[in-house]
Amino acid sequence: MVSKKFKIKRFDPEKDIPGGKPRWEEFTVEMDPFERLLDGLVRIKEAQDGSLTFRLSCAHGMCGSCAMKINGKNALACQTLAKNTPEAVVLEPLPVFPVIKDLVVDMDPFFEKIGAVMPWLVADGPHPERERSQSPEELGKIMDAIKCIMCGCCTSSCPVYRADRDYLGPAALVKAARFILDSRDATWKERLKAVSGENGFWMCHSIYNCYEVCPRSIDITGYIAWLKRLAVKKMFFPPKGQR
Amino acid sequence: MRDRPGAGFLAFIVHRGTGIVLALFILPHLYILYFLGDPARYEAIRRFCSRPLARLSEAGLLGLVLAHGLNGIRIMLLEAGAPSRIQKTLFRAAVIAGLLLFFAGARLMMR
Amino acid sequence: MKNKNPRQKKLAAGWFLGRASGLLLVLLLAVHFTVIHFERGGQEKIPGRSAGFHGAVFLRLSHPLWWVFYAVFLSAALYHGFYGLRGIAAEYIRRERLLASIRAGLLAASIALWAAGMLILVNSQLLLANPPALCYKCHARGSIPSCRAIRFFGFGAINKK
Ligand code: FES
Repeated sequence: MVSKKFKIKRFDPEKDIPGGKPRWEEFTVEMDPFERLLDGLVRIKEAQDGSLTFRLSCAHGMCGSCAMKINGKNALACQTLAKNTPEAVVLEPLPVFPVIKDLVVDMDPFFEKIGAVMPWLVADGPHPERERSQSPEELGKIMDAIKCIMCGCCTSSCPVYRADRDYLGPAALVKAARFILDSRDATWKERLKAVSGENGFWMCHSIYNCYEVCPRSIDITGYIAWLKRLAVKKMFFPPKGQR
Repeated sequence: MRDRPGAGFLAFIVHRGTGIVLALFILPHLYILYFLGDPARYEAIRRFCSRPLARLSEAGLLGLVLAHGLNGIRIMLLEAGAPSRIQKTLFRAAVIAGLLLFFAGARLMMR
Repeated sequence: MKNKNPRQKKLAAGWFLGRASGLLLVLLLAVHFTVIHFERGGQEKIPGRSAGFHGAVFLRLSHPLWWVFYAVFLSAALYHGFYGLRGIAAEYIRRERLLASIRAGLLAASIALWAAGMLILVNSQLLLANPPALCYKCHARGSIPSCRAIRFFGFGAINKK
């Protein structure tokens, strides 16, 4: 057991003024080195301060609920082991997104952007008798991108998104690339149109913050670069016919 | 706590800063060239530009160009399909190449 | 089929030109620095032998390849620079109207600078076509020994005779 100090940036909408001086609170928890920071947070809430607010659901890095800024870097609290952090852990809500309470941020602007890139399959042709199958090679093309759990770590770490909230952001762009690359999808044209506008991938400056923070190690910046190449290719060689 | 600047973020900040300065530099540069039609004044400006302090700022200009240009090459390589995992290596390579070229160039300038 | 979204194409072309001009500028700047800044050093002591020297500039401009070099240099630098400034403005300026006017201003400034640069280049040809005393020091076009860099790049030998 080690003793961990949690330094948590707190915000209570009923007491604090939004944008006012941040309120930091410290808690000390006894933790097993192989426990995750999320366990520590749960223990604080149970035993020390019931008002501490944060999101969690799966606790296995699959739902993306527990994304927060851990020691200055966006990450999942349920994926960060106590032994991999310094003695004092600094926890903040995800940057850029509006804070609702403590470590909980308003993810609506984030999901708005995801919704804008048609995050659903548009299949073509008659309905097949069974599933629309993919070969392992076809699946391999999107294997990396479908790992995304939409935790928001990437978008909230992007300096371009921070400067301009109209920017679609890395998560939405990866989502678009994922469907454009999908062999079952039939409508890359509209998809490319949705992400190649003024607020689309042209705003990406290849800063690699998203790539660095992604808890699922997705090559986000690589996908965005691929979208840029695709758009330039389509400009030089416009596709004949409808699709 | 602020964002820890990673290599990519540092490169971005430097790229943006040098880019703005270099873009604004076009104006005085063209202004000097405007005097090409007036040899006497042009030579006067040029003599001013060969004073030590001006020479030093000329080396600074070389630094700006190198920083912006080498990182530009890095970005273009990455956007052209170089794997993301080498972005930090490319950054280090650009820094080393930039320093070498800067000192070599500055030596030639300060001769 | 007609192109349904010219806006999209315009953005792609603009971005591509930005990158292409950047790559071009790397090459052009390498030549520019070699000729003007690096070569100058050793020759500064001997008046009339530097590449930035008034006569030397004209010597270079008398060669069509150098003239084209500078015209391309000017265009690439202005496009690249102002494409960048435009993007930065769009990123930080939230107010729609203000952004539009800043963009218009940037476009106007870049066109004005391009025109000024081309004027200098055209003017140089006029001066060359009608050479009085080109340079107040040497007074003759042919008397300027071209610097090593000019010889290295093969241009400028035109007026040696
Ligand atoms: S709780 Fe689901 S990702 Fe952490």
